[in-house]
Amino acid sequence: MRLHKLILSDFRNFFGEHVIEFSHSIDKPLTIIIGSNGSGKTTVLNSIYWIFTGEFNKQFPMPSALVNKDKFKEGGTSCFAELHFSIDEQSEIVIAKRIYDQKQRLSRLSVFTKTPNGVMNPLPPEQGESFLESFLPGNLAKWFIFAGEAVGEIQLEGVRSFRDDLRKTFGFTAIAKLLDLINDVRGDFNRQIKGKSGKSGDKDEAFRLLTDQIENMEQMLKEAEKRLDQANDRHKILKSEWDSWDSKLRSLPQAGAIEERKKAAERRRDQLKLELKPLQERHRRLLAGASYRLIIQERLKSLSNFMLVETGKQRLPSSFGETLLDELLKLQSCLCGTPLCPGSKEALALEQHRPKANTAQLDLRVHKIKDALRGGLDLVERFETDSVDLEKQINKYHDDIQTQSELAERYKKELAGSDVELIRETEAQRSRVADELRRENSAITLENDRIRQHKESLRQLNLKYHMMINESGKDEKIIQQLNKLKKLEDYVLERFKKQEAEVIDTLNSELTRVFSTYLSKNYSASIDADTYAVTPRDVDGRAVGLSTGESYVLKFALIAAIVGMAGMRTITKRVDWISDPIIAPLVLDAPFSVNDVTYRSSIAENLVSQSSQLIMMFDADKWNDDLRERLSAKVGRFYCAISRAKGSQKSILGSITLGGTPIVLNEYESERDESYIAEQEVWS
Amino acid sequence: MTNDHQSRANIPSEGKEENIKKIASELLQKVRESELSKSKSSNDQKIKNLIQEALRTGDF
Repeated sequence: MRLHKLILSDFRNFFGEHVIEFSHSIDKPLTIIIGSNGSGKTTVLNSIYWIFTGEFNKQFPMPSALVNKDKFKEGGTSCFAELHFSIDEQSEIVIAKRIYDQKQRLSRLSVFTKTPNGVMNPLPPEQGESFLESFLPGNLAKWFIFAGEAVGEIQLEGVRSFRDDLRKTFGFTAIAKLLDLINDVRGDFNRQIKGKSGKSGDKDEAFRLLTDQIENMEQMLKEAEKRLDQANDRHKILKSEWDSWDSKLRSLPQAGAIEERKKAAERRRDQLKLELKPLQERHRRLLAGASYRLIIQERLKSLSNFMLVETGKQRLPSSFGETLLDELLKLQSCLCGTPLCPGSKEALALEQHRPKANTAQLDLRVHKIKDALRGGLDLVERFETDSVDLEKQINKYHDDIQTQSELAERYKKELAGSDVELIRETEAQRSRVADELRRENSAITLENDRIRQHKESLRQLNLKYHMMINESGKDEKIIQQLNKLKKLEDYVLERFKKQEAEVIDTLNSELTRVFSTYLSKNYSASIDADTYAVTPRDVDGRAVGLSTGESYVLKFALIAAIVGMAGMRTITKRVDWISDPIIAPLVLDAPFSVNDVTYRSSIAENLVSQSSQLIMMFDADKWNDDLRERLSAKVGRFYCAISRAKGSQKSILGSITLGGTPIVLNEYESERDESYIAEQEVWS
Repeated sequence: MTNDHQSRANIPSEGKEENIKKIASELLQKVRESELSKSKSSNDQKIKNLIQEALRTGDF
């Protein structure tokens, strides 16, 4: 499909009629629209989406008022968006016009086809919607006409709805349906043959038994498929319920983690307190002994000084002590005049003091006292060092305890701001749904296994049936048709398998190319054939994580590969389609609102290389010289979306520069608030 | 390989394969159109009729 032209009339911020012609040639498939915020780019995207689906893109709730405000004030009650497109360059033009009546709040679709010689053929009104659907089914429109933010919603982990949409885009569901219908036709033949056998009284019980077995197996297969559908539906509902609980939980403060951190801080604080206690006890004991130690220290010092002084004065024992004693006994008279007759009581009493007057013994005692004094003083000095060390340790403990207490307090405050009960309840609900999802997954696996077994059994039975029919010489015409049916079925089945394998292979190879070309990583992508989950792997085949920026590149690459594959424009490989997949142009609004600046040009280049037609709308501040240079060869049409405002200038004028000429994107002092699209010359 | 062998082995000749491809593509197109239609059951019958018609008239 190629979009030729969009006409907007009094639609949202577009007053009057505005026409945008899209470039749709093979060599220049790109149309660019640049504008500031609120300049109408998103309205252009939504108008195209609205024409195809009757709704606005999911990112933008459908407004109740579509008619331009000023036009409505002037009495206008309706607006329209009209799209001109064709299947290819040669085919007739389709004109789809959706008109909205704001008073009745109703929209009406008119579809015309226009032959090359200009003859307009209207379609009956009741066929318009389904006719448009045949070009782009409503549920797939979101993959072709989308706002950049939507890329974040693509789940690379393999979400069933995404896989189903892809399968539908590639026509796989139609192939599966055709195989079912072929099987039904076989059933009709079987019943005919069985009926004929019965009427003619054929006694071939083996044949009858076989057709019964086939019917039973078909019935079992249908039932299993029905159960699988039901399980898939339940899974879908549960997944959406899980997503909703999960998103609710993510929006709440993470009480569990905060609680854990708070408990850890409290545990550490309590542990530190426990360790501090013995230190404090030691310190207390030290302090308790401090006063008497100080007294002792003082006394010891004074004693030590005294002894030093006395030694200096030679008042302490010296050698004459014992000599004096001998002199007195010899004189037989004491210093006080008392007679000391030999053997007298007084002489004996004096003799008893001789050991005290013995200098050597006295010296020894004095030394012992001095040693004791030194030891005492050392002890007192060590007490000071010990005490300081201990105080340092204790202070460190106090600091750590304080830190942990503050942390615990901070987490406590954070917790107070969150509703713990609500979080617990939400977690419980998410966990409940996760359990149910697991059960549903098991059921799906079980039914898939059963279906595989039933299909294999059915294939064997049908083979046997064909052989039996060929041998039995039954109705030639029916046999011939059954053989043809088998050939048709085999062909469709074989192509189906081949095509799906090709799709997966092409997606793998395209994404791997993007890894090496745009992310400079030696990674490969592996896509699960069943779930379509995309896993990036390193050279050793190990799954690797991607940064947010890288995952956006991958998601855009996935979109580009899907669009490219459908349009046979993929670079590494191409799929040989059994029937045409959906080929629609890619209309992207603000594709870089979520992207790292590093990847913008690469993403844009990759998208344009694979799209049969691409319409990109950029915010003016995301447009840069690199983008301009890398896209220049593909741009066929270039527009600026300009917003006009009634009042005086309120903010800085947005502008871009083309060929050295600045183009202002905001105009003020205008007749009304509105947007308009101005075509610019494409740069060379 | 003779025609008979091909028939038994369910391998169509080149021209016949083209016919099958054409028929399969047309049928698939009809199925896709019917996927978009609201009255699926009546469309299923129409496609089954188309299959039977192709079996009667198609050379493959």
